[in-house]
Amino acid sequence: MRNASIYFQQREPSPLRQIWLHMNTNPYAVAALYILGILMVIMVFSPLITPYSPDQQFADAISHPPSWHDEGEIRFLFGTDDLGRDLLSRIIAGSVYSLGYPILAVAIAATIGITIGAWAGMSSGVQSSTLNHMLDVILSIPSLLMALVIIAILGPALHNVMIAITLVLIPQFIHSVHNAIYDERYKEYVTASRLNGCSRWYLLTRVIFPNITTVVVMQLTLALSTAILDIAALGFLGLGVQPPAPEWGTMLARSLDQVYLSPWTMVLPGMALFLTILSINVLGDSIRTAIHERVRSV
Amino acid sequence: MIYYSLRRLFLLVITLWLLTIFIFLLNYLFPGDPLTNMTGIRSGDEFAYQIARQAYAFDQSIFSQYWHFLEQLLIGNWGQSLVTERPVFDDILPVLGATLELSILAMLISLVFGVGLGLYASLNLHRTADTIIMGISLSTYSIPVFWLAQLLILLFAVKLGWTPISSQINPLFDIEVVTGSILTDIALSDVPYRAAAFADALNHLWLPVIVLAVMPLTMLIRITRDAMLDVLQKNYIRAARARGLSEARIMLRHGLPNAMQPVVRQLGLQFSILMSNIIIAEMIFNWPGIGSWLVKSIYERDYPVLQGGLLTLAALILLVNVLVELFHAWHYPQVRKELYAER
Repeated sequence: MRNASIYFQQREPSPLRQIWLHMNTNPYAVAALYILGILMVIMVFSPLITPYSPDQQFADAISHPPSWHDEGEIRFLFGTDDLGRDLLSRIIAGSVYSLGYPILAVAIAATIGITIGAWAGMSSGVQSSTLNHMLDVILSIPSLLMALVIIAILGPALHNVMIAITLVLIPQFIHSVHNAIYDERYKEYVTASRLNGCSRWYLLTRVIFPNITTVVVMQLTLALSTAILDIAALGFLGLGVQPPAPEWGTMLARSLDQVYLSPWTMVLPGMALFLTILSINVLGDSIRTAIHERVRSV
Repeated sequence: MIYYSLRRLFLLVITLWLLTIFIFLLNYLFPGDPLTNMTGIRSGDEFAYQIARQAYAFDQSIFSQYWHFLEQLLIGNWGQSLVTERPVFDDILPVLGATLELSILAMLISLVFGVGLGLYASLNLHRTADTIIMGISLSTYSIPVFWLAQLLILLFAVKLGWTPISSQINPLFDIEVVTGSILTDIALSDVPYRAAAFADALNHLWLPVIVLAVMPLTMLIRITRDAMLDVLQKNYIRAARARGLSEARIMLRHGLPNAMQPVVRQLGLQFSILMSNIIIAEMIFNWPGIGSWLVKSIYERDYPVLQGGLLTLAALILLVNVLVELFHAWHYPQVRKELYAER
């Protein structure tokens, strides 16, 4: 039987799909998406694709320059550091610490933060306004400072950094979700659904939530770049992931005294960090522009 | 306006009060003896420890302990450092001065250049200049501050050898530390080599200031450009054009003042971002400011210093945020009207 579409029906793409369509027209956003995708694939398969173990030391090749340098060897594509460890392997293995763990922290923080934010957004009155004021205050304190305090209590270690970053990110999610729901709550379509007798749960999940997904996605990219930066910053200060783990921030801190002799140990891990954060920021930025356009066009 | 100011100030006081509660509780969360964490007096020093026990009412309930803690905090007794055994409160002023000097200079530079470049980009919308400025601002925005600092050190200090990379001034210059802000200190001192010291301090200063200014600068460019684009769509700009005003006059008298409103609103946030970058930058440039002081205290587990630094830094950020909000509401009546309408 043929598709019997007798009536012309205009299909409005969902907000998330609109954003996607808009993003597809922006070559930078598409490039950023691909780069991020490649980085994710590299991260997931990092134990398989590293040429050497990240901790293996080559006594015959200490502070070897990268392969495109005159004295470089193709054996060590990105060169080696002052202990003779292959830099390429360390950067690839470091993606687990510098990209994988932030993703995990953001996922946990998003789950908790969105739940609390949704609950706060649906409730009203004193409870909600107090929460908002408190969050305004908490959010004006930089996340790195909060993470530092939590590290001071717990002590520097990988799992403590994860706890600190997760705790720091939760208020951001509560704030943005709360505000987004608050803005939608009194719009006419929500009132209409409420008059139809929908339950609060249905209102939240089926009526409001599809319309705030874009805000949530934007907050996710923001939180991810914050998390990556903070974990790297803590690693750089020596308060995060402890050496010899090949975290990019820790590698940068180590390169600080060798920057005169072997600048590549500083430039290359920094480049990896920069590329990751840049692609996330470009994505977040294009999502923000897309949201802006959508609001303007309505 | 009075009602709004009172409300903001009241909120500030409440927040600072909550901050003191948080810091009080931290003393119990840190490893070790809470009283030692609070005062920096070790239990080995029997006599002083007993006196501190009395002063902080440690034999009474936790509420009365908090009350006495607050009392000591307000009279300026912030305990002593566990490492240097110097009073924390006396040490804070110079490090705060050093940090403020850096942050104010960085903020000024980013404000001037950020607004200027943002304006320029908005006037050349979708032309080459706009694309270049926006592209550069988005990519520099993504550079982590510690990597940027290292790159600039590599370029300016190692390759070009233009500038020293550590501390405020060459230690050969004997400048007495009064405010901590090195330029003010040189101006206050009456040494014969003042001009040379000034030049040396500036030579130490410009690289950290640039490193710190970059992040707020890139954000301010974007905010100014977006705000300007919004303003240029407005009817009053069209009206001004219709009246035949010159383009420069429209921009400077009608466009820019209105576009500054979202920029001012963002300044508080920019200051918070600057402060988190300053913590790292001070460690790299060995700047004797509050950020490096705080991080060193974490290394050394010097809890009295840590809580003093945390309290000062957090209070400074909150204060700046409230001041920016007050200025914003005072200078832009339409914002104030919105705030009152919300009630």
